[in-house]
Amino acid sequence: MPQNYAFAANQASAFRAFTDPNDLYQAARDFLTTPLSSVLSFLAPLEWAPRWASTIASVAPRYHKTFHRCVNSTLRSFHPNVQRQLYAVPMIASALTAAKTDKSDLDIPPPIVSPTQTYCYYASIAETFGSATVLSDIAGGNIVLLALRRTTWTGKNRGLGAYDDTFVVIKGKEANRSATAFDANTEPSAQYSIFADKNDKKHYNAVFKDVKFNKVDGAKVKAIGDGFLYPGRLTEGTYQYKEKSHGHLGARAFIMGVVPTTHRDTNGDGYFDTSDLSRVDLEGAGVTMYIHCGNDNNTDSSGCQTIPKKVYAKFLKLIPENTKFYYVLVDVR
Amino acid sequence: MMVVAPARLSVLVATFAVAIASLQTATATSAALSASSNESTARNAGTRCEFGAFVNEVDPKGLNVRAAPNVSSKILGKIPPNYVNKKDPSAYASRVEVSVLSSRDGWFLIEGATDNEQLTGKPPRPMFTGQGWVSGKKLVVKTQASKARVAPNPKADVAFLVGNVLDGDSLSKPGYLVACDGAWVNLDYSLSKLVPAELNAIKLNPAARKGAANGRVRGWVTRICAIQETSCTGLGSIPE
Repeated sequence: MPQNYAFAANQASAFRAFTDPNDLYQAARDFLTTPLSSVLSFLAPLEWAPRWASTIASVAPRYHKTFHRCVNSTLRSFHPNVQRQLYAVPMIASALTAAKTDKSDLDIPPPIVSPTQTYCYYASIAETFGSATVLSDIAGGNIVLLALRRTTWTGKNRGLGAYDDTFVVIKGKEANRSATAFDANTEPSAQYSIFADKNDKKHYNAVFKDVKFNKVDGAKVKAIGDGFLYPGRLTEGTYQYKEKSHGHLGARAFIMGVVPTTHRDTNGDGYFDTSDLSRVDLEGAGVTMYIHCGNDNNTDSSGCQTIPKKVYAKFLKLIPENTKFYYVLVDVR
Repeated sequence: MMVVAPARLSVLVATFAVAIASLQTATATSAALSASSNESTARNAGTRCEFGAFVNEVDPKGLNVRAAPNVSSKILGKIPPNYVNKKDPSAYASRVEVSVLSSRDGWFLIEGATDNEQLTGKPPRPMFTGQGWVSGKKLVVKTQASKARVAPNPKADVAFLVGNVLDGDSLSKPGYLVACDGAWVNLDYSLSKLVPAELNAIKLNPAARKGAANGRVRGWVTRICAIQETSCTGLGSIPE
């Protein structure tokens, strides 16, 4: 018997058809396939509520939110009438609406022990927070790279950065589906911040006193107009990446197709938040926020998305050369 | 009327003499300083520039840094060759990083040479860190420019489109520096190392071949990124 089922042992429900008890997408499809109301639509109000209650009861509570996301994603391939019928049931409407923005289970994932559970959890996040094209790519088995960002102060680890975010390579269809997670970094580190340069009396902020300053990188902020280079961070969103010609430092790397929006740390506190005036930068980063290999003890990032050297080869192995893929960056904390 | 005693007068005369002597010394010092300044000016003559470059030297003896922009001038010191990790010779060879101050006749006035400890994982090697001249054929840059122009001006004609191919270590190798102007660098670049797809992407204007040897092209680029270990993330708004 597989350990830690996503579902409780209650499998007596008459409409339960899925064969992999960990497959919440299959559970969502089974739930949405309503033989009676699809023929006799007047039965729908009577049918959905008990089906929902029965299915939810069979899913382990720690996977309820994943299931809600899976239903939302799966719904798109059903007739719009099904969605209308579901949203007419307050209990279901409330759960499915909340699942579109709820991030409360993203920071610390539920205990994941099977490949199917891993896939359902991560793919449903990418589908919920990514663009519509991500949904079709996942459905088609194409590679999607999900990044879960846990906001980190740029001065952490003496300003060398921390691999406290998660990259997940989602790929394949049906039996070949997989989601493989890696430690990663999605934020710049203070070693490249003008505010950590002790020789720059105008900008230096003593909160960075322990930072091992390296060089200044960043972009000028027109609204401030002082000509200094402010650190930048890629904003949450969906971006397309492609293979970068000749890689980076002798290894393969990936470059964006379009110029992204970044946020600038204009008040120099090491965080990218609403206290940074004029923080939105629409062009300064160019297409240079690469995905590349970092050192194991230094993220080597002034804004790039990096993965430790020790696992980089394993990461690359999952992405065939010259693959274009969508990158879904989600702020989870 | 002030009356000065003879003894005091002699003191005054002596003091005056000392003052004259001091003045002469000061004049001599000033002349010396001026000569030094002239020499310095001579060393610094050329087009002023401001960007970071990497020394691409594979000769184990290192690169000579000279007092003037020619091979016969005095050697001031040396810069060590690319750092190769002996345990992993196939890994990226880290290059010494320098600041470029000016250029003349294919030579570049540099200062502040240093190893990239992040890439070498070791303390910096001893090297000449002051100002001096090196040949542009020993310097490479990373640029995030998408186009090279025929002159250091964002309004000049495009010499060739580069996409992002020059922001990579392996492709910066076939390039070297010809001249610089502010934050613009004139690159001389070999096409022989490019694969056909990249050659197609480069889209050459015939003007790019002007002044370049057979199989090579030249163009001015900006958006220079002086960080080896990662990309620069704020150059996108610099007019190119």
